[in-house]
Amino acid sequence: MKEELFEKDIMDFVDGKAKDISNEEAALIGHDLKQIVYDLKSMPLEKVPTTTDKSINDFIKGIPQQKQSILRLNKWWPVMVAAASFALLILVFNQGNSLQDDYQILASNPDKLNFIYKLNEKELNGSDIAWLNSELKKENNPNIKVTIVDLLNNYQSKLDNDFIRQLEDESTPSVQMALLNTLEEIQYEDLNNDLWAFTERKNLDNMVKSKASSILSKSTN
Amino acid sequence: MTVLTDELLLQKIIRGETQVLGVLYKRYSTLLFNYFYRVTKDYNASNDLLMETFARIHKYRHSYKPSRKVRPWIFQIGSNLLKDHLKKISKTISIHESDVQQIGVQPDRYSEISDRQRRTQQAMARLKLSERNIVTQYYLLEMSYEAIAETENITVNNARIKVCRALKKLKALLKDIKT
Repeated sequence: MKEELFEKDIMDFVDGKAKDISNEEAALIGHDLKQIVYDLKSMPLEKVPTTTDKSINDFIKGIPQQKQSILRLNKWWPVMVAAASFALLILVFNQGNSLQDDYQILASNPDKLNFIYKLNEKELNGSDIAWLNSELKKENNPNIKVTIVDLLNNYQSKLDNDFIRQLEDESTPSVQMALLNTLEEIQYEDLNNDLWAFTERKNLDNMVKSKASSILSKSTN
Repeated sequence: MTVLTDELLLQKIIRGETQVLGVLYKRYSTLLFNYFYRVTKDYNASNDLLMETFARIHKYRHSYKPSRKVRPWIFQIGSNLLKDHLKKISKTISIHESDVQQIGVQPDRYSEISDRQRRTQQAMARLKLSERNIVTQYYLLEMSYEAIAETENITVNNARIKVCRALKKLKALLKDIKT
């Protein structure tokens, strides 16, 4: 029982629940364990193989969409909505309008997400990329933003300051992670300075902070 | 700002918006893959476990209780799968000295980590699979002691003790690893 209390004190310190430990022996162990946990947390993460990403995409595509109407007024209503959305997407992709024009007429977030996903099948030009950058800036939905960042990741050589500056204004961890992944690959000149400033932010998510620190430690090693 | 929480995403999946599973995958795949990889050291098994986790998230979506947080629910699914996998391989696995350095970070990325981190990962490799699992749940997935306790079928207090003792063992192992 005594040892358990001793270990609880240590872990409260390692977890940050206690600022200090009065017992000298526990304090010594606690400091060492905290360092070990810090070292483990800041190890670089392996990337998920692209083949797995593809398999998951195929898996998701293979699941039949079974959107159910909450009101259950008409069991075919969701099917009709899905069909209409799909038809709308097909329509906007085949009319020869600019992507921006096509995108503006989409009202719901799922439609917008589908639209952005589908852009992976197209070769985007400079003005498309500039438009996506501006959408990224004004979009509020983090899922759409992550999807845009992932799409832009395919055009790293065409990304400019507009993209790089997105991290400054971004506060959602999932979007921050997506931006960091791409910024890490771009390796632009001021990356380290920007990341130092970024890691100083208050209330930064642990995973995001760890990712930013990992990029910094790689470039300073 | 509109933020689609994990809970909202899962509600959408339950309602049949299956493409949203892709968003959850984006959010959690890296963490889960690294969790599997750091415990098993097996790239292919980690892949399989990652895919199986998302297949199960979809399969058991209706068993998710809205009062719960999605993050620990997903990690619990992954942890349970890993536990089953470890049970299967525990009789055959033996980590050779040459494999030891590969735990956590691949050799071609050694330049990215400090010498102390390299020694820490070597010490991690010397832990028992169950100890490595619980430590990785703690530091990488940042699972609470409550979540670890639920997954490991032990008390919360016991979960804290197990994490503490595995970390203390790591500390002792580190002393034996030369710089």
